Amino acid sequence: MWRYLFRRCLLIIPITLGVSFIVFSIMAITPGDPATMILGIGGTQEDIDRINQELGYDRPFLVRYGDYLYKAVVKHDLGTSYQFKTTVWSNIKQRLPVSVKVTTFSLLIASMVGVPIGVLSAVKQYSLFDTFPTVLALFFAAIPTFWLGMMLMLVLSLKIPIFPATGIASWKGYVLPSLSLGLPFAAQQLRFARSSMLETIRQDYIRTAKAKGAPENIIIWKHALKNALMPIITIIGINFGLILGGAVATETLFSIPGLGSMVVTGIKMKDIPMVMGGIIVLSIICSLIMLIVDLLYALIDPRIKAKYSRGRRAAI
Amino acid sequence: MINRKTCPMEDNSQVIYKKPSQLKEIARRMKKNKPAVIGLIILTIIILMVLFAEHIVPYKAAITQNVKNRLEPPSGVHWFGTDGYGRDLFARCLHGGRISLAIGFSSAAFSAILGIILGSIAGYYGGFTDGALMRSVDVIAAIPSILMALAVVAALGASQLNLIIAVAFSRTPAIIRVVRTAVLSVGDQEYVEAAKAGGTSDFRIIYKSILPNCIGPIMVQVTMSVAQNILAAATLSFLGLGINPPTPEWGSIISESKEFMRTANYLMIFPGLLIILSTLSLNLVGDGLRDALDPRLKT
Repeated sequence: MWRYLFRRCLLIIPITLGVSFIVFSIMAITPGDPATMILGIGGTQEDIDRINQELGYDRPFLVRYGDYLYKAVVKHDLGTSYQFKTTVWSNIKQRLPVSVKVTTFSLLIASMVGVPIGVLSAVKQYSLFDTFPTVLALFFAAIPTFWLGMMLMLVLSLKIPIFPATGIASWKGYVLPSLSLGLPFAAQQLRFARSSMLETIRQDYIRTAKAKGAPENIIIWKHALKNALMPIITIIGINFGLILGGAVATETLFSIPGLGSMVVTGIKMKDIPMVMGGIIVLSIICSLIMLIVDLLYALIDPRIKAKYSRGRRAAI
Repeated sequence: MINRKTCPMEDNSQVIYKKPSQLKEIARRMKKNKPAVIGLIILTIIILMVLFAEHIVPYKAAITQNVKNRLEPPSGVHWFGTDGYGRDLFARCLHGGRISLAIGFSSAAFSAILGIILGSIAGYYGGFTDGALMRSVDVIAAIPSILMALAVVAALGASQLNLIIAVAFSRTPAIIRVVRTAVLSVGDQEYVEAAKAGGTSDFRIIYKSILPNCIGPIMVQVTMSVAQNILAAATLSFLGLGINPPTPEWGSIISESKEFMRTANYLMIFPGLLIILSTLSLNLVGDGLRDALDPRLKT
């Protein structure tokens, strides 16, 4: 078990290195140079050259990449933002909690709405409890999150002023963004929970439990759900990463200072350190979440735990 | 997969066992699936309207500004109303749909081709090739796809072609994984072994023996990815890194409507509904296709 955990943690290193190299390369071929972005249109060629030299932007690509890696790994320095003149770390420290909060709330909404309704519609297959949520889920899965956000903003903020349209001054500010991110994912989790549950309740041991005369509620929520939970947990884990990195449009719409919007403004301004820092942190978090999902498997399913401890599981 | 063998009863002397072709069988199952049929009908209507957009409303109406007519609510003349520059929203939505759907479909096709080539190489050869390819796929998949697409668009410059490349690039890892799994599942079948023993070239084995037998899950993934690509392209345009104005595109129309949210909310409702209708119908068709290709998966 511990060996497996160690190996999985080690795997994050090459993935992060790969991510940093790809993003650095893409940023390097992006037209424009940082000095022009910093100085704006007014800068003279001399100033531009001087600033580019100060930033080390005039050196060859691989030297710059090596230097970035050296500073990031050895000195734990992700560089200084070209636009704000503040360190990338301080920006990330400010924005990461906001992003994690929004993602967690959205995921909570998605799971608390999606999973129970999905289980219910599987149990009551082909009834109104099944068709109505399924149709609604299909509809919500097709909605672009930013559009849903605008509609929520229109109804719950402009027409009936309950929640603020922008900003996160109080908890109320988190409601609309979390809803607009959470509901499409709720739809997805509903479909997953439904199909996973349908598969489980057809199995023999459920029939045995029924034959024994176990109460219906206990069969569904204890016996069946525990086994149906694995695919659901996988999808929740994957969704965490998707929401965390994909909340860009929603963050922009509701003016939430999250990591996603930091990367987007960074891309637009060719602020290489900000983009690199943001994406690297996002990808490390996503890898960690997937690791946690894998470990949760072992917690839920004793068969997998047994496999780990015998060391039979192949490397992923 | 069930292959119904039909046996004509009228002439017992020569019993003919006829196996219906796989395509017919799939089409038959699709026809029985009501949501899939509805999806297909909606999708066909949208595609036809978008294809013949020029005959329904000329492109000029979508880009000619007419400040006198600005922000008119939906009426007989302007079905969807007019936007902040007095342009007919119906025309903008139709012509915008051309671009949105074109990006959705062509980026799906692009990533399908790339995904099938790389995925079948990884699945067929295995070993080091597989390891190297899949590790690179892991790396690309670790970058949030929308941020990846944004960075690619920023690097290449905002244009329709670059938007297609960016969206396709961020979608390819998922397709490679699906293709690889599918290829792995048929790669050790006897007929593949037989073809190998007979000295058939690798390319021919993949192309003739393996791919036709695992095209099902790949088709489903590609259909679903069209819907996701339409959403991704709309998101990129919404963030201002997509199609340049005044060219209409569903995402950019919604983005432009932001400032009129209070006064003219129809400006955001109509293009939004069109996005939902097209992704919804694509998802329905994808679901139907999955059930038709493999009835065992049906829940």
